[in-house]
Amino acid sequence: MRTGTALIAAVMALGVGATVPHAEPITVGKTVTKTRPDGLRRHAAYVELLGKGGMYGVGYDYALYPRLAVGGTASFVAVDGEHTTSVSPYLAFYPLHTRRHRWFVQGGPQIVHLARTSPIPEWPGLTQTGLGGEVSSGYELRSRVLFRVFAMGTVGKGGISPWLGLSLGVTL
Amino acid sequence: MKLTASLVVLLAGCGVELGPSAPWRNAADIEGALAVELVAPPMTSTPRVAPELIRVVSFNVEKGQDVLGLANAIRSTPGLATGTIFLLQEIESHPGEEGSRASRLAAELGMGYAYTPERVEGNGTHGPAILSPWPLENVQVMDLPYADLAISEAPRIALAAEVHVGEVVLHVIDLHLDTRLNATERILQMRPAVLDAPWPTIVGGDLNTNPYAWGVEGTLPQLPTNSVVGTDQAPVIDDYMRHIDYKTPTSRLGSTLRVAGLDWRLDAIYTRGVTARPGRVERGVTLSDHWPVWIDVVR
Repeated sequence: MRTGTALIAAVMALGVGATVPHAEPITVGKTVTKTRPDGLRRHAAYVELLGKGGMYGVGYDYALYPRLAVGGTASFVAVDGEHTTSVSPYLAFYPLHTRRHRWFVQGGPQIVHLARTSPIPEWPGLTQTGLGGEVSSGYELRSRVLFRVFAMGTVGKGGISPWLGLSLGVTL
Repeated sequence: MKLTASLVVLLAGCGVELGPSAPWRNAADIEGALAVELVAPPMTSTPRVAPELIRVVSFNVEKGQDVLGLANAIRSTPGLATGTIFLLQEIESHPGEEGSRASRLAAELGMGYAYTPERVEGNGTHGPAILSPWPLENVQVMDLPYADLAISEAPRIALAAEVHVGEVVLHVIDLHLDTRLNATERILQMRPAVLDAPWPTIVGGDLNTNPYAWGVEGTLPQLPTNSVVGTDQAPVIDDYMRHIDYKTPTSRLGSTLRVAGLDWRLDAIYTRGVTARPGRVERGVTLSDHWPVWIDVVR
């Protein structure tokens, strides 16, 4: 009976809607989740649809404090012989938050390298590299699962562009 | 992880498929609804002496419904009034009207013309035309590689003719390329028409060199990439044309279309084997969503 209860507790703790006790780390077998006393899960890894990479990307961030995190998103897209690589480090600030529901503002530089490869002999192709900046803001659900939906703006030598993004990932 | 892998495969594989290229066809061999109209200039309108400067105009007329308005705009705009080779795109012909719009515009301007429909549009046809007071000979049509776009795909063609300006024979090619192609695909679409063209050559038209890199079969412009790195396609096409010995006299003339406050350089003229002087984009002509652009070729 005690084993069954522990198992249920463990499954619940791993579940999407699991709540983490404020001060007590949760023990699952020999693994101890590294939650802060305030229940914050410091590490987040995610995939992004649209977002900073344009079409998709992968990212990671680390919460320094409940209101402050650092992270980055990277992306590689290959369409029609045009290879776009982007790296977007950012600083994240949370103006308003509960333990699971948060409003975030992220900002940072963005480096994009575009290689237009040539499929024909008479033209060598072109490569371009640009440095810009991006700011995004939106809603974050942060429990065992990370979910973000956001609007963003990018600025660089090509002008200013609005964009949207959606992230889905896990936290530790 | 499976989700990530699926997304990568799905999105990375969403380029545009281009069909094969085709050879030039003689205009006289094309029959049916897409048959070419070829009319010689009136004897009285062909200049007796060839001018030192041959003005070449490229103009997407956006269906050209107001033929008289177009003719008046051309006659009243100094940069266009002295035009002697007009490369038009998106002109139409409808059975309820008194002849094709190309024929009526040519008649108004006292020119001969070649009009070739690239597709049936409603009860009529839609395509490019070349107008000139100089005789047009050896008129040919090429089906450009077909772009399998997710939205509003359409056949694209190139129209070529020899324009006999006095003793000089200029080979002119009128192009209208697809809208939502990436720059590399755009090069592949125009390449069969321009690479081996006989010298001296003038290539012009609506190349649709929009400022975006596209994903998901031409449906999703990569706005962040455009902002950061600058993905304008016009300089890329210019670069390709320079590599095959064309001059790019319109590369510094600026935009030829304004949409939602954004200026895009969609139209261009290139020359090979002749000396060309940049002209201008006539932004005072508002009968189309495009502005006409012209250059002068030194005979």
